[in-house]
Amino acid sequence: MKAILTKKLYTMAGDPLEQGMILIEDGKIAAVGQELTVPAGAEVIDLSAYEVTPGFIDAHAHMADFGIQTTADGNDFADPICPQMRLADGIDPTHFSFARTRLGGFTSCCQLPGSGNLMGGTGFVAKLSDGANLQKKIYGPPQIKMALGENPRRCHGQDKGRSPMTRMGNASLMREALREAYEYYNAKKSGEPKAFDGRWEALIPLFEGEAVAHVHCHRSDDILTAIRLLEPYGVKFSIDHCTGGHLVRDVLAEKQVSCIVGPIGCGPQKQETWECTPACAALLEEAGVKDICLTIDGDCHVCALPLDAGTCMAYGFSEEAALASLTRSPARVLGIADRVGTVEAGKDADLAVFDGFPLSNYTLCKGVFIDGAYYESKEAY
Amino acid sequence: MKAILAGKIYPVCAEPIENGVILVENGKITAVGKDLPIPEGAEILHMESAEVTPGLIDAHTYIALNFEPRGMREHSDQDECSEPITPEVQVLDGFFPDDFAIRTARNAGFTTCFVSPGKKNIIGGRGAAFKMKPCNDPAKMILPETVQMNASVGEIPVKFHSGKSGRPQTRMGMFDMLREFLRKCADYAAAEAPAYDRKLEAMKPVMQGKMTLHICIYTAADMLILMELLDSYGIRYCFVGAAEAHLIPEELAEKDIPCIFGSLLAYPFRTELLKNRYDNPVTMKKAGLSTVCFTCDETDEIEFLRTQAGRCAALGMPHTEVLEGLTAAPARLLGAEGRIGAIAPGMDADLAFFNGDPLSNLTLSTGTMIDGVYIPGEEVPVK
Repeated sequence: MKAILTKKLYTMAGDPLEQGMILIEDGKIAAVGQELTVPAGAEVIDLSAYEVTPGFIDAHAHMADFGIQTTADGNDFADPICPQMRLADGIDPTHFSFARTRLGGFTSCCQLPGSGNLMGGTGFVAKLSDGANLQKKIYGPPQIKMALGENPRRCHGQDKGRSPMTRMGNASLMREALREAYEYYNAKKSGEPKAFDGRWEALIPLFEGEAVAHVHCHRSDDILTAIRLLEPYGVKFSIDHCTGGHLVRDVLAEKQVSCIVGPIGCGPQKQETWECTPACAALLEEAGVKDICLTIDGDCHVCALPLDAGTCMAYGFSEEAALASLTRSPARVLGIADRVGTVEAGKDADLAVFDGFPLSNYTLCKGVFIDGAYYESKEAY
Repeated sequence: MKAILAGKIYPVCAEPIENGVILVENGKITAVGKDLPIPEGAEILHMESAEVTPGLIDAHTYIALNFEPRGMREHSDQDECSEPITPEVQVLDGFFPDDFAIRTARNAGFTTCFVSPGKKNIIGGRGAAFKMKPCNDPAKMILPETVQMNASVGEIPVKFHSGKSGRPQTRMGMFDMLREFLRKCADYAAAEAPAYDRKLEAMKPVMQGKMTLHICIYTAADMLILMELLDSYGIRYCFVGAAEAHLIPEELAEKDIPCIFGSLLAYPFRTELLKNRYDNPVTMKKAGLSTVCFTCDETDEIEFLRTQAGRCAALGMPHTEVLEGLTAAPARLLGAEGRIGAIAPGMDADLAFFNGDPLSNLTLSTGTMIDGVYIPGEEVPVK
């Protein structure tokens, strides 16, 4: 049993607790409160000079996916529809990005294939603990990557001279894939399965309501296309990047679409990111979108994402929503809220410890707890 | 005459002033202080809720060489990479004054940016600093005293030109070409009446120690080799990027090589960036380097540069030194310290206004003044 004393505890399940305390046992949170009795024999960890949050979660990362060319295993361009590809087969779990990401207060990350394909493969959520056995770190439902907009049409159309060549082609191929996969799913459910097809097998968890589809969309019209394609199937999906989301915020609010916004500084390298503004998250909040997550679309610099959340606050994003965008909201969107995202009894003991307001660029993360194990920040970030 | 009443003024060349006044006339600062009498008839700018710094300076960008979006090759005027050594070209001839990157920079508090040719060539041409003001004529935006020659050493020139089956194919080839070229430049500069050569002519001020060589370079090994080579000719130079500077702090401090660090968050898409550290500027300042500047470099994220630099304050660099790295230090490096980088009488009236601490990510730049003209920031800078 460990007892952690804090200066301020952002449980994200209610108002922050001044001098909040947390009891941890067997990697789980046993109790949370302001005046808990420390059980006899408990190890007291005095963080009473620090602010503590749930361990941060990046809802859309590419750690060790791309990097240097020889290790770029994030996009397999053989076929624009390849949901059966498993990102876990292409990741080096000892890559330095995982440890570096902890320096920002992160304890979990949703790892996704790239956006060069319309359906690029199945990603996963993993704890950022040390160790070479990736399977021990993965948890939660499958995270299926999809993409609309410039990347699929460039990587296949322009680079390889085949479909999709346009946004029309993007939508047409994705619509057909969903139709075929849904037929396959229904046939299997009715007891008269079609011949095995790995691609459509991979989409079954989506139709079952378990998996989440992450659709890469920057431009506002791509966002609407994604909704048009996926909504009829009633599946769980999120709009990832969503940098033009503020332009269709009424639609996103009305339908309560999960938005994973960022990177907020993605610059205008591509036409599809022209609508990007650091004010996007604030405008979505104002319109009434509930589950707003932030992402930096990052590799080794995911650790800097909390700074982006602070920048969004400067543009009007509320403190509560900004902190939630790295904790409670991604946990809900990724389907892992039963284990992480808030500091509550019964949840995994995943915490982040800061020497000031967690989203300020003047604040350093002192360390994180993952399943109760403490990882001290040793490098400067 | 304008009188700016500010909540807090960071002159950079002096201690901050609470509730101060800045007087501006004909585009120049005429006075700054706490209890200045406001001349009769002066237009008063009420900035009592703002903190004011000198207009920020990014010492190394590619602004206005890439009409956005960058992905469209036909719009990029960044690299004249038809051959690997092109000192004869200058950015003034490719600077597109309508590029909205200028607006982005200004919205972030940057009033001057050094614009460099790209990194594909070993010697890429002459860059210069430009004012980020709305204007249609690059010649009216450039600061002529800031023209510097740009070089690039490492993976980018080798990879690009080797891919074209030309030279260089390796780092060895790159240094061989540079050595041979500098030898020719030195001979040309020393000759009394050499036959005109536009490349060698362009390099003359560099060889004479009158023009700084502005070098994009990342590994410690490359920096050490280059220092030896350039020192043998007495060339004045600075390093940009310098990802591995923290591995050779003493060597760099001994010669006091000015360094422009960035992007601090470089994505490791090249081997030469793998050892980049966020606290690189902090380490080098502690080692005694007098000129430490910041750049967003190839990431284009100028709107986040001040807060990325600000984070160095959490890592052990005093707030004043970080601010200096975005103002007075780059002004000095560019040879324009008499005009920009500080709030003092006689300086250009280039200012940046913030709704709080200028280095915090929880504040915003609310506007800028360039050459005495106030330009309000845009609340929702949609690109």
